[in-house]
Amino acid sequence: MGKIVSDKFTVSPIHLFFVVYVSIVDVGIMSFQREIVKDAGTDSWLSIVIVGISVHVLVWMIFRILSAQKPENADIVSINRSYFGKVIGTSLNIAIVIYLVAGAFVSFRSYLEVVKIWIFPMMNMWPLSLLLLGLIYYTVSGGFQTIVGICLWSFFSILFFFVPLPLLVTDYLHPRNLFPLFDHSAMQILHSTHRMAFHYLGFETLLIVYPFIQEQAKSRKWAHLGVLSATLMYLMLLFIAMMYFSQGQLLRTIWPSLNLISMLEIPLMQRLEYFILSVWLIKILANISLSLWAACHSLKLSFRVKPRVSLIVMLALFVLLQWFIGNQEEITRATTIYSNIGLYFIYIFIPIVFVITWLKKKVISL
Amino acid sequence: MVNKEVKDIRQLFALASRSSDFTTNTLAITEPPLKISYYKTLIDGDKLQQYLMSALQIQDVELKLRHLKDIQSYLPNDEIEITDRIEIIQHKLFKGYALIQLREEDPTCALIPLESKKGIRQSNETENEFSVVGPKVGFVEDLETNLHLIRSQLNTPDLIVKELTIGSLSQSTVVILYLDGVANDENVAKIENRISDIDFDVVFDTSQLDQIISDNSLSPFPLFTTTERRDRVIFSLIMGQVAVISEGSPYFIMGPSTLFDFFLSPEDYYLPWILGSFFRIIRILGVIFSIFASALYVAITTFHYEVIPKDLLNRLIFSRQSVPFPPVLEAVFLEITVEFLREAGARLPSRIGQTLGIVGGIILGQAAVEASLSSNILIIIVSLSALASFTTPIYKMSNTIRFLRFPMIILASLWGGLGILIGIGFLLVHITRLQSLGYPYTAPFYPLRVKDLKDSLIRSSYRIINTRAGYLKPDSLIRYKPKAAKRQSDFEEE
Repeated sequence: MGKIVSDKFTVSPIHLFFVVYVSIVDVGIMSFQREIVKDAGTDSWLSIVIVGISVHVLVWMIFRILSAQKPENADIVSINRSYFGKVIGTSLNIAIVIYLVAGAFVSFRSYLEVVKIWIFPMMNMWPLSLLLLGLIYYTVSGGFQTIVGICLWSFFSILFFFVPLPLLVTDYLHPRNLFPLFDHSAMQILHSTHRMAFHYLGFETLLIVYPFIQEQAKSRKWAHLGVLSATLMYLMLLFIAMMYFSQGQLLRTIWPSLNLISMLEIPLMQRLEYFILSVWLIKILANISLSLWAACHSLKLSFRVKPRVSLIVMLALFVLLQWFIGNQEEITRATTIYSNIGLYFIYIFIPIVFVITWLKKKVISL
Repeated sequence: MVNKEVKDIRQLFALASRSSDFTTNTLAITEPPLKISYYKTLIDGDKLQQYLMSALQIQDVELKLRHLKDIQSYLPNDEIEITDRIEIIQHKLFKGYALIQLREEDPTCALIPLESKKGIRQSNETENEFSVVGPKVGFVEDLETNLHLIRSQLNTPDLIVKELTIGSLSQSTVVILYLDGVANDENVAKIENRISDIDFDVVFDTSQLDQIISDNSLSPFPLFTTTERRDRVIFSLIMGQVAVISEGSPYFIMGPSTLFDFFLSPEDYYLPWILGSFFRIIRILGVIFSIFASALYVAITTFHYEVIPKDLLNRLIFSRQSVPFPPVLEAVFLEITVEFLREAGARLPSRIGQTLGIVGGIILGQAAVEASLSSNILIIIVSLSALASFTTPIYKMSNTIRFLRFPMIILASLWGGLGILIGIGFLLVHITRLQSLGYPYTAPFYPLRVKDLKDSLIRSSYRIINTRAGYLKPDSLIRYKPKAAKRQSDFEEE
């Protein structure tokens, strides 16, 4: 299965930056502050740093795993098969596909929920969500290159809004809110680290995307840069939120980033959060398309299912799931389940595969 | 297919003589008498007199011709061809050549070029792509003149002209131009293949070829740049693109093109780079404004009143309070009115067109506001965005931009700002998926090539843009060696 992917479908290394960044930063960026401040308070930035470093290590492992494969250009589907045998390997692959689709659905559903709460509280969301699904179909059917393109556009469109943010809010910040430093127990920080790790889920698509990157050796630094800039983005938003809100306020604010943005006024516009939430659509589109593409591609590799067919089935599944997971509570529950599984995936599964790779290498060299 | 297979010269004459402008004469000035046949509507009578008759009559005695080849030594024209291949004879006959035979039954003819250039406009000033600075040389409807214009500025044997014949009825010559050693051979081969695969009856204009050979006909975006300017064609040739023109068309198409090529104006390169970049950015902002302005108005007035600051909102409410329509109808009406004006202006003779513009633009707009059928803020937005759409240097792209407004307005009326963003989503995915001759349409932004950004949003100085854009995969990357002029400053005078 390690066949070389034709040049027509691959992208150059620099694009891995956008892929990794987009796959990490999700709609959670609007709300993560409250979750981590709850436990670690003023020290919650430590948890971002810890998770960030651990993800760097995981990315390093992923590259080690993938570059050690012979024949080259393997992805997780073929690795699972060769490491765990046909039965276990295939069931792992199925699990990964389900996990990816679930991730895409959770993003989709929570974005729609934020839109419903902030922009259209009274609106029937069905026509909009169907149109969105159409847009997702159009994107994913364009293939990997199109999705990477959308990742790139979304990165820039978001950058456009978040970079001026610190400048616009400087007047309202209270740096004293950041203190005292280091007065929380390791347990508290660990709790908030656990919460923060949810917001890094997604970079594991690297395991499937890898063969589609040209000159993979060069691409490492871009993947790490992607992780680093996501960490910086989280840190920036955390610090701004912590300086803007008092601890008490922050704990009662569901979407601190959005509340913060909504206070800003620029000459021609108020209620900037409408704008940012709308632009966020492109970001979510990239995120969902990437996961769905990875799912379709894995299905194609393991069962030779036509991607077009599996994509339609997945989107139909989205429509069905939208019936069942309707309100905020159910979405939160689904997100929590998904995130916990995701944590097992990245912090247990990937190291296991890494160790196996390492052992194999040892055995061969002996 | 109307074309019948013509087997021999007698059949050709039989078919041709059914029409009254086909002439066959016998020239008794030579020995033996020559038989000359031509379409008198295709040849130039003066040329017939000057070239042929006077040359053959130069001696008082009768010319003795033993063989057709002897004609060549008397006629001062090197384009004479002697052949017995019927398909060439037929082709040349329709291109304005006269056939000369020694005997009526003789299958061998001498073909003498006498084509007439009647009906071709003499002025070749650019009409649709105007520029204030720089040359205003444009193309005309004559292929040879156009090729002359190109070749006279590109004095290099590397400029290759490839001729193909397309069109079962028009037998038009289609010419592919490229710089050997610059343009990627693969691109040339691709264009050549696509063009020679065409089966079509009459090729009126290169823009028809554009549509037939384009990668994706389900797109409102033009995939090849079209121009009537000489400098533009030469510029894209030296950048490594391939240019195509068909006989009888004043327009070249060039490919592979990127979306960005449509927003470049030759003037960017004639102005100092700071100004050139500034105007380029203005142009792109104009395009963005033109696509989204009316849609934003609809989104804001339908859903998001609270986005507008209070003072501005007062004005907006004041201007809209007596308008009886929902914003989307108001906007669509006005946009369609502007399209009527544009379409009428393009069809009418230029003098009437101007008057109509004044009547339509000023009087109609004023009356619509006074009758409170429309808010005057919207009139400002719509007319500004119509104006802005014409800032694109290539007309085809400005059509696309005006077209894109309508889906945006409708999406905005359904879901406000989010609807516009869904529209943008579709637009972004669409342009990311598009390819021109198999090359990504959004280069150099995606796939991102940092090196090629120096001549994209901004036009950097000539010292920096000395290399060709890598996304065209040109055979040689360097255009020229930048040599910094030695800086001399009287401040450090020795």
